[in-house]
Amino acid sequence: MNKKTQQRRVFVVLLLPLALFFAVAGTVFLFPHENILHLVSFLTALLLSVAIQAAVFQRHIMPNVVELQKFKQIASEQEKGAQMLVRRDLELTRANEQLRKLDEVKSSFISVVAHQLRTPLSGIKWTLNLVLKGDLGALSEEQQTFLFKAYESNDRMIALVNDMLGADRIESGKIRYQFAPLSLLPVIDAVLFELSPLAGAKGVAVQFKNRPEKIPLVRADAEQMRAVLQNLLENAVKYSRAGGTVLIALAAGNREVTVTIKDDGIGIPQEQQKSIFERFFRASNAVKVETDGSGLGLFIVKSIVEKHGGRIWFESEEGKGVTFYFTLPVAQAV
Amino acid sequence: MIQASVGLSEGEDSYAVGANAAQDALDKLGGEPNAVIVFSSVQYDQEKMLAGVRSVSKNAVLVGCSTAGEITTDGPAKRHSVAVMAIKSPDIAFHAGVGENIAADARVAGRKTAEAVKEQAPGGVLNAFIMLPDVLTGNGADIVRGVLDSLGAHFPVVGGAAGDDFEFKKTYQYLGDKVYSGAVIGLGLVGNFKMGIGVKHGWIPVGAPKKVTKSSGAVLHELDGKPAIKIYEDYFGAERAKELKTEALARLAITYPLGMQVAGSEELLIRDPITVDEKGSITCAAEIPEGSEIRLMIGSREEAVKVAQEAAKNAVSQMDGAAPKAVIIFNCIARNKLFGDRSGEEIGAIQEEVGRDTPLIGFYTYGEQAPLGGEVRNMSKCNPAFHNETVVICVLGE
Repeated sequence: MNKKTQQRRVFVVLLLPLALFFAVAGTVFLFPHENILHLVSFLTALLLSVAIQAAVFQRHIMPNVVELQKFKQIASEQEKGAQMLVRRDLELTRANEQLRKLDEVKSSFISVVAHQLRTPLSGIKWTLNLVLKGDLGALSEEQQTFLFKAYESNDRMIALVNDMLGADRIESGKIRYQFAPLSLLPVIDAVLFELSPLAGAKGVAVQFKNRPEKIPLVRADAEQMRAVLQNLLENAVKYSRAGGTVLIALAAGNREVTVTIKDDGIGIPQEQQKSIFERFFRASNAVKVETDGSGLGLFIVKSIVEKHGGRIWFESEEGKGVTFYFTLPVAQAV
Repeated sequence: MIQASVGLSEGEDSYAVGANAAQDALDKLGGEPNAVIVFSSVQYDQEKMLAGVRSVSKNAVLVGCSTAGEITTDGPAKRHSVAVMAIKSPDIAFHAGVGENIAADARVAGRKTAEAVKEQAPGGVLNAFIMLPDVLTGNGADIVRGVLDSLGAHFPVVGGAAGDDFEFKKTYQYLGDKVYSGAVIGLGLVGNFKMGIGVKHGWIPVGAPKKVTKSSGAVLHELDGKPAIKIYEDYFGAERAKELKTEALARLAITYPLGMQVAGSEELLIRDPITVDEKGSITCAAEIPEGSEIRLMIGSREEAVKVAQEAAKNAVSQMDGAAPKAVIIFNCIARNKLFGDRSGEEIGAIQEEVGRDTPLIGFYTYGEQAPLGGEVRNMSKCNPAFHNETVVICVLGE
């Protein structure tokens, strides 16, 4: 029996995968089964090495594998996100373009209507004027009063149409600005002078507080600047209460001049303040005070100021008045 | 001393519009100009328009091209116009030349232009070079390469590729009283002046990079081994991407260009997709070499305005404190499309840096040429390239 065993030598074969940091290697152990003690010690050593390898794998390699998978997943999610965003962006751009086209159609419609209205309105004005002057026969006092009301309404309508045309010219870029160094003082004086009948009739005091003798020249188009001041000051008077005060002030900095126009009138409701520079905007409380008004004035004003490289903003509390500020760049010394 | 002025005109009669724009510029200049730059819409009869300009500008060196929109000190022109800049300076000599037949060999055309300009300069020495190429008939990057073959690899070159109001059919170039097509015009500046260049685009990459596995010149065949169009199919969705193939122009893709990494520029270099064929190959406005990694780019108005201002600031900062006396802008048509009717904001931001009253002319291009990163101070790093979707601002001072 003993002899037999010695004759038939049995070989034990062990095949073990060994993980070394990033590579996996197979190791083959071959040894004769001669001594059970040999075998036990061999196996122990082997198991120990396997355990160490396993620990190394667990500790250092697995986290990298997990990280890499996580990274791959994030990258693929990012890619999908990017695709979704691009599609969304594309959709919005399209929609925006369509809106812009619609807006163009609307603008050109307004422009055509305004142009078409101007001629008959002038005709009405001319005719009413003729009748009112008594050229076509004497009028009774009552007739005179009513006809004058018609004349005034017609005039207001002409003003509205002119605003529409003004806004249209601004939008379509038809205005050619003639920028030149300009002193604001005479422009303000002239506008205030023209405004005095309206202010007087309403009992509103318009004051040019601390009118400076000299102010740095600004880079501006005189005619457009006049329109800006006229619009803002007229609004201030229109939306003031009887006995109210409108203040105008100038402040000069190194790079810009700031114009302030403050009234103590009806103000602008908080929730509508964000819309006041939009076309056709009219504050709900303003509509009650003044029935007509195109809602284009501030849109025009803002466009002009910005075209000058200036800024416009305001502060207001409903019932307490509005203060408008706008800046104009100081003319560069030539 | 450098004096410049800009005139703008529009109307029905091509000759009158040209003459009026030139007269407008000359009235403001006072005196005879040395050089005249003309940018015109293709809506006008090009010969008649140029004859109109020439009737006023007479013998001044004249260069120019057709555009996809004119830009002046007043901002982007709202309608088809002719814009003219007149420049007068006793300290600068202007020399102009042309290289024809880009279709036959773009690189040769570029080289010939530079050589024709150099020939006229004393000793063949130029200080700066402005180029106005056509890129509908050839590879824009090759034209730049040709110009640099003659001027040296590191030379301050700026320019913009002629346009045709976004039709991509035929563009025109002007030299003296002659109208060219499929050509490149060069204007060399010699003398005592300061020049600053700003170059930026502000588009940012979205999504993963893709490798160009097959391309030839400006035609991109395969990305990651798949037809190039797949990049747009992935991002736009198959339905939308189909439009790119069916429409004559890949208009849809112009506000989503491709960007590729190049050495010497922080930003990726942009390539505009122009057309897509049946097989899904994309023809770009300039070459994309095989092996490049490209990404889809996306833009926003805010970012575009911001970087335009930065580019202008960079240009002014290269002037050593000299005041800008004339500004030339080469601005990509894609930026105009991105902005829609708000393109004035971008020009306004530039003017905040260069001065609101500084005479400014420019146009919306089909590709821009400028040194990468706008580098013109360290000449060894001045590497002119062909850009897309980029704003290039060239400021002159003394």
